[in-house]
Amino acid sequence: MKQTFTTSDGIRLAYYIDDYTDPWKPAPTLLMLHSAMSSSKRFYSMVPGLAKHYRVIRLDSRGHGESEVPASDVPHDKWRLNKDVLELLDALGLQSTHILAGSAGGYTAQLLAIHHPGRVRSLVLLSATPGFRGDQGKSWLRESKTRGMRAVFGETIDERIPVAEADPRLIEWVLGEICKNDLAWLERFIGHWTDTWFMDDVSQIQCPTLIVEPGAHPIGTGAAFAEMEQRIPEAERIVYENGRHNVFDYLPERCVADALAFLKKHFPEERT
Amino acid sequence: MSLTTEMQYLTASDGLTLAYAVDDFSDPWRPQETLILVHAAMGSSRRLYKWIPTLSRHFRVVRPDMRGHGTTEIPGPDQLSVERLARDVIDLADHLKCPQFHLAGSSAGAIVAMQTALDYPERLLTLSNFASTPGLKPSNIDMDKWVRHIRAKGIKVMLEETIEERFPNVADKGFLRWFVDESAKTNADLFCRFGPMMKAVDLTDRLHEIKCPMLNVVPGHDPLGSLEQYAVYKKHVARAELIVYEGLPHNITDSVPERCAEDLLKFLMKYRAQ
Repeated sequence: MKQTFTTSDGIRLAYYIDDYTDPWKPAPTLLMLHSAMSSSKRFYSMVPGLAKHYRVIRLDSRGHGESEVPASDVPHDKWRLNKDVLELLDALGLQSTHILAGSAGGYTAQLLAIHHPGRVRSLVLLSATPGFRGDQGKSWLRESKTRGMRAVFGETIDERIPVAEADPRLIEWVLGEICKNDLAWLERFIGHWTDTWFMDDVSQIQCPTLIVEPGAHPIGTGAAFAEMEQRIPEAERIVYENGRHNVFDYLPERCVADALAFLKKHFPEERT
Repeated sequence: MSLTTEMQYLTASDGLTLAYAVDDFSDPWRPQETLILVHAAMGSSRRLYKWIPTLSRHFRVVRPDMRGHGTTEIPGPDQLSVERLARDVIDLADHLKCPQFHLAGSSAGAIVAMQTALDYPERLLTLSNFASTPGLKPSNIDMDKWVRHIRAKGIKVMLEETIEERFPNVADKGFLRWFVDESAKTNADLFCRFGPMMKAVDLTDRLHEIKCPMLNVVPGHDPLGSLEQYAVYKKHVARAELIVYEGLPHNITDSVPERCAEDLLKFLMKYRAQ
């Protein structure tokens, strides 16, 4: 069920709630935060498996999906993205939630766990390091301006989804979804994350954390996943052998199974 | 707080407003296939919530509230018959611009599904029957007794007094409470029309007309119908499959919903376009 709310800086954000838990029991909440250039829609294949056990909320990050694209003079930074999530939780009357996040959604998820530990019960981080250091993100956008997003992301799609393994129709669909994004907004959004790196702070994450590492390390800093595991007190790490960045798009069933097993282990009282 | 699927509405060909829910997490890059799932008497689309995660990953799952049930309007004196209920399924499919679909039903909903298969054979890809004889005439249900019980005490008390025999295999008191509360939303007068109408239906003689693949999942230990009464499909329907849930009484669609959904999915995947 799609709904909307307006943030404290006046941006209308869309979110979706799906819940197939037993109606006579209290349902734990799981918030899904998507990656850059994505939307809640792209999580479709993970929702039914999760919503059987959790009240699943998917937020369209500002500037993405059905959420409003902020005007160029609206200030933007990572703290604003934190506030968007906190304001949604407040609007829904939720003190805390589990978070499952992909890539850039996982940057926000970690910052929330660091700076608002009372609001985050656990983290499932799919292909998410503490920020996005390096020039990769900026070069995609620079190139997209001259050659178009379709060409740039089409050429590099194997970094995200293994072309030799995945259904070509899935790849085509994901590319189409990527190209729906507003390029000017992505320059601000991805640009900000490119300048952000908070590895030194992840040791402050107190909640159980599952790190899913795409083994082929096509995007970002591969060594960062093991370092996160060392620094986060309650972390565990699963490596998807030869995995590409967008495990949430092409390995949804595996991600769901790993997330459910992790959550069941740490929060057995929530599941019957 | 749960059961978040929004109800949607259409106007049936006789003017009644029908409610339905759609859940669809199927791959948007595959050709869409639709499954219409019809609930039992005294039920509603809500009672099938536990089937959805399994099925909606592969099909657009549409759950109507039968006329008189859930959030669908109560039909007028001339607006309730099994043929009319079958027509509602078609009106819904037309509304969704869906020329062909998979159809499944639970108990009385399965009778509606069979009637739909007989009246509109070209519309069905497959037919699935959960826990129903072909009409209630060939069942052991004493409908007069049910109606008397409801007339005397109301649906809620009737269900409270019979809940143990309905679910001897379910220990979860929360579920039993919920089942009673959900079912008791049914209008008693409506049930006293609906039940006897279904009790007059016997489709046995027409079953041979069903040409599409038909799945039959039946309870193995049910005082409301013997295995012989339930197994009639193998005899009359060319492409019938039969799965017996050994030892279970009538209400399999509520007591083992995930098992039902998994068996239905296994059956449907054999006939999915790709």
